[in-house]
Amino acid sequence: MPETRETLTLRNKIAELERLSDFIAEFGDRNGLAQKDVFAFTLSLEELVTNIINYGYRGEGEHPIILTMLVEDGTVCALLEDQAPAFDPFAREEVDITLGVEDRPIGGLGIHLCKKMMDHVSYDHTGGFNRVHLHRMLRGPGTTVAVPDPIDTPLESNPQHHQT
Amino acid sequence: MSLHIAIDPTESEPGSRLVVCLEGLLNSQGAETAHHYLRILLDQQTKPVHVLLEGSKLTYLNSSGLRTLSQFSRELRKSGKRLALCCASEQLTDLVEVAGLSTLILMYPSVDEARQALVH
Repeated sequence: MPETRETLTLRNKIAELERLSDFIAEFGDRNGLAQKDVFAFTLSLEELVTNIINYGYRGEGEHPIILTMLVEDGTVCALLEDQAPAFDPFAREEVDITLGVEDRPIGGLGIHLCKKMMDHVSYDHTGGFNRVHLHRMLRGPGTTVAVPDPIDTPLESNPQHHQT
Repeated sequence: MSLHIAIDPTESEPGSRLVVCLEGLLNSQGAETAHHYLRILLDQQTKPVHVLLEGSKLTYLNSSGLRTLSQFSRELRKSGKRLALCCASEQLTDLVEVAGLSTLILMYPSVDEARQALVH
């Protein structure tokens, strides 16, 4: 399948989540993704973007959050970038779902779900940007699967990827 | 699309089990709606009841929605009652399972099966 790279720039407003889910749905349509793949990315990216808006940027000012998605070698990849203070969302201790339901803290559930929905997640901080990479292999029958390298689109050198 | 939530009076049995229909998105916005509605509904009851959520038209559920349902379930459990999500899609059923919340949010393929399981 040829690589199809698409980019969306969001503002740090919760109201932007609707544009995010619309973008993922349309990306899914254009690339023939199964509903479960669209659901996995919608859920994961909404959780991450909500955290960036509420805790990264703390609801202050206006800042961009840039999402790049592509399909490559049977894998859907997403790169989420923001300029909030450096924070690795995956560094937090795993949610212990074996704890009794009455005892278990509710926090951290969104990131837990994101990790479970994806085949690979990673984080780096490059050039002042938090960069979260998500990979999910397509589940369709007969799909050739390989985990590609993380999307490498330094924002400073790829202004054409900033279009909304 | 937002969340629509309404009690189903034809399926509910006052004083025993309430059937509440969910339609749309149980995301962070929907979770607030659900929290307020369920809170009011519970306050109106004269005795503890099981709450059966009919979710055949529920299209989305995220961690905010799961948190709201979990908190509501914990409240019900204090009075010996349970929260069930019925008729949810396979996707949403899997999500509850992956979240490790299937003992808190009981999943049933139909309202009838939930009704049969939640007798007392």
